[in-house]
Amino acid sequence: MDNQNQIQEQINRYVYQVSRFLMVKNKEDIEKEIRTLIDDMLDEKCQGRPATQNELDAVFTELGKPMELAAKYNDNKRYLIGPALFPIYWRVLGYVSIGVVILSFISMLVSAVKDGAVWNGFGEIFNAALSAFAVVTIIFAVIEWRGLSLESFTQGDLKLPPVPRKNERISRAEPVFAILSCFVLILILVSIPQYLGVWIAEQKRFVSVFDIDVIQSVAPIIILSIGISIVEAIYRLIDGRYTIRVMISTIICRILTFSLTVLILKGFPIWNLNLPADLAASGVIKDISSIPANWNVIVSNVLIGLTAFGTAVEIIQTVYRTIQYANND
Amino acid sequence: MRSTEDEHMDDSQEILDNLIPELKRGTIVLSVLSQLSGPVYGYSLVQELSDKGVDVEANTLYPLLRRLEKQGLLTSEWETASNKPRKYYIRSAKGTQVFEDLKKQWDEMVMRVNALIKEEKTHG
Repeated sequence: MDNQNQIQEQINRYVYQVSRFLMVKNKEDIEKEIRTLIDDMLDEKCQGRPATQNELDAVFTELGKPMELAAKYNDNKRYLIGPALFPIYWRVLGYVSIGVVILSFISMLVSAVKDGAVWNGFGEIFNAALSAFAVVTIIFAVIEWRGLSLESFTQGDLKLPPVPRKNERISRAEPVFAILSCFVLILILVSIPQYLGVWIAEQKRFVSVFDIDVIQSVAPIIILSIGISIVEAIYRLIDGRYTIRVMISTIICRILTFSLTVLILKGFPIWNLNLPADLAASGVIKDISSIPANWNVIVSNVLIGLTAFGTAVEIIQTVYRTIQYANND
Repeated sequence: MRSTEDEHMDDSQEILDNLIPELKRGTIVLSVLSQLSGPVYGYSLVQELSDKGVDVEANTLYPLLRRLEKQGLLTSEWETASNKPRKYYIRSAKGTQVFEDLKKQWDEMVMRVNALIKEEKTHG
């Protein structure tokens, strides 16, 4: 390859790299324009002579790295999580990572004591922390993406809410505790459902209340449902008081979570139907007939009842406080 | 060993180096619009501005021209008759209007800021 072809090839590569990072419609036009620009800059330096490598390098230095040049063309500043939301994202991420690491560590110790085996150890902690990071980041990315429209819809443009009086505030502890509880639930239901049950000392094993295969297959629904609760908690954390936005997110999230709970409990045979027989065989219970045959249906119904009650109380309380606060305004 | 005063001097030079481009940034659009009453292509505009003592780097100017075109302040056309195809930009009617308004703002701003600076001088 002679010198001029080599120079041409490097220009092609540079233009190609710029265009890879362009997020605009008329890429071809920009490519063409950058090509002419490089040509013009070389002409100015060479004054009619063929260009040398040094001159080309100088032009590339002047234009900057392809990624940086492309960024100047991409006028819409696009963020996964923008500077406005970042401080709260960072704070939540901090709480959650500390919580997850501590919890994973505890469950590791527990299973080490119970089974005599370290439950996959640090790999599990890493996985738990990584999923927590992913869940929080996805939720915030969605808020970033939808956030602005929701805000202008609920609060108007420049109207700032008054500084909340003490009883109007949602203390930071409440949503933080809620988020951590959500991760405990995910950890228990998704990572270690086999330990949620009865310890049979003679056989040195747990009999889980769940049918492990089924509970694992509904894991995505469980994570979705708990993830929705995390969204609700994050809105509470962001606003720090009862606002229309908190009220709307509470109503939507609670109803969704409740529906998903009903779906999981009624739609899937998650309970371990062999549980009574196993317990009777190991002598934990004397008489198998003391457990009703349809215990699984009863447990499901009780859980649905409790969830419905909790949902109703939370929604009513939030709506009440929001209206009360709006009237004080 | 360097005295603390020396360190302060270094520091203020650095601060100044950051402040100057910031000060320039707001004036670039005005400078660019002023030169586009007739059709001009990107690189000749870089040179023209540089000859007149206003340095705007090509990697700033090219994206800016495109942005101004998108906002309707400029129109452009590829000139393909010569052996080197070039994109020529020219101010639109809207661009001229914005340029005139911006110029007025600039004159007022210069006047007011100058008044402030002079006031500072007489006090100091």
